[in-house]
Amino acid sequence: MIEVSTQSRIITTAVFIVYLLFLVGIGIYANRAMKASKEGFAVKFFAGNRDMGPIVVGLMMGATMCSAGTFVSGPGLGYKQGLIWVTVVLSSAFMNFYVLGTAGKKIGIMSRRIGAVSYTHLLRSRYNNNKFIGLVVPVLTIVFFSAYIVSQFIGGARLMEAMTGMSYFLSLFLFAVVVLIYTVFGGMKGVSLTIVLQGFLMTLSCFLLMGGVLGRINTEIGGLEAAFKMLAEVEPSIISPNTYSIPMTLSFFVMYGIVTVGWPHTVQGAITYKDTKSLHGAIISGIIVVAIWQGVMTMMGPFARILNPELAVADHATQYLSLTTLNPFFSGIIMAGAASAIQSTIAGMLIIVSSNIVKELYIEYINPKSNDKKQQKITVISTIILIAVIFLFSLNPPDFLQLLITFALGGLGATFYASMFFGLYWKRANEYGAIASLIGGFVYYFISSIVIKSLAFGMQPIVMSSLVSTILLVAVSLATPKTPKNVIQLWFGKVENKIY
Amino acid sequence: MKEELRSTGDQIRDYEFSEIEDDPRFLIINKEVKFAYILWIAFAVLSLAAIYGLGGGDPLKYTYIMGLPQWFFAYVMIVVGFIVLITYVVKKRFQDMDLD
Repeated sequence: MIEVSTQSRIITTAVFIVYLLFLVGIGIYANRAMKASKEGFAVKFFAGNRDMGPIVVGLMMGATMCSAGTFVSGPGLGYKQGLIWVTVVLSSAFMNFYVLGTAGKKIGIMSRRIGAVSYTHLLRSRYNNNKFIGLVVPVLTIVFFSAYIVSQFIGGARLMEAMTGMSYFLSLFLFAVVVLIYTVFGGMKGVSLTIVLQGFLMTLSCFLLMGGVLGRINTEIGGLEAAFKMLAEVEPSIISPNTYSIPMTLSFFVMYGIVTVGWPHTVQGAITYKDTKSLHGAIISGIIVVAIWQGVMTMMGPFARILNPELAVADHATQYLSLTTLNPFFSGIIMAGAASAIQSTIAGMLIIVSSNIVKELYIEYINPKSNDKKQQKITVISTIILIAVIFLFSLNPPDFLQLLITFALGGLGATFYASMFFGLYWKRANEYGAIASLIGGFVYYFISSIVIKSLAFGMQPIVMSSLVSTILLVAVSLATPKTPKNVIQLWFGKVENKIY
Repeated sequence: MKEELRSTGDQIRDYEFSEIEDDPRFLIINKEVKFAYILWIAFAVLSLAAIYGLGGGDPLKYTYIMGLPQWFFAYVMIVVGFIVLITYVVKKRFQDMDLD
């Protein structure tokens, strides 16, 4: 535990509570704004009325991706592995460009054409309303995203516990209640507005920390170069890139690059943007802010190492730095910044899990004729139950949770990437190829990350799994009949009458 | 409630793709996607060259620019360069289009 005065804790906690109150307020405002709009419930709640501008979409995609990893475990790994970790994480800055640039426009057109508010719906429609795909994709998304949300809750609660001194239970409870309020009441609109506040706080935190930390390095050690030279003598792996092999580094570039089209939570931005001007703006705003957040925060790892080579828990690097270089008020801002990163990820994923439960499972298979009011009720109830279940798992995380979490991002990305990308651009891709690629990617990821690790060939498992998944999609599609003409007409051709 | 367009129409699987008239917007999009992939390859190649080319040696013999090891500084410059490049291309070359 890091020693800090009670007075400091109180100030930090107070700043944080004010931040939480802002979030609640935004949730309520968004709720009113949603009521005023005349669009259907699903479009309003899950797709923000397809009305989101460049800053909001850019920030939302970036903040959804940047989570506890960015503020807590990212710096922790930077502490342990050094500059090469900072290097690979920094490459994720371009994620908005890859998602929006390789899929954004077509997804924007198609989601309007077929009335889709989710990744699942797009895949299901492209693959001929295939029942297997229509069930497996939402179930996988629900299970793995929920697991990931649990890990974020745990990370957030531990952070709160460490910085404010509140109990784990209370921290967890506060976290959960606030997120519940602005997602259930505000829907995507609430989420998007809170993300503007959160994005601002995350950016501010980065500048504050960088200032404080560099100041301390200059006064205590005499500058960055002197500090790195010191490290070169004591722990050269921190400043040498050879800590990762070239294939490993390349695999990170793949994972944070083109394969990001396989991630439902970042692709959601492609479903909610208003027009191509907004899309273009979202690319630019996204790459700038993510570069700042990821670059600065992971650099805190090596910096913490320079200032305190004896830190007991590497993940405490951010707390350590903010508590020892900044006054308590600014520490409160950092906390709000870290909480922002975590909550924005939670909210982004919650909306997607919720839309899969309500629209892609309930409305699709159980009650297609439900009206707006009913849909809203189901959404509220299912989200509350979902958060309650997640809360319980976070209180007492079971062992298999770690497995699900490891799977959540890499595994889903490998599973979905090929079907989405080739579905968008290759007419010959059909439902049989998609099914083969979903199963193949999933299974290969499982085996190469847990059972026979050599199958990953010294890289992040997502690379080989995506490759296997792609090969299966191409081979099986070519070996089986084409997708029906009306589907290809819908997905590739001109559609004269406006459908939606 | 409006009926979404469902693709459970006649399941005709015996046809030629040339029978379908492409939406011209998709053809523009295809070009932009190719560009994105080429950009990714360029980034990966340049970065790996800078990182391992400049940083492969003995850390005790590193040169430093602005306080950072040379390889890392070069990589950061590549990232900044690509941010500028992407901003330019997206603003000036990517096309606006009606989404409906």
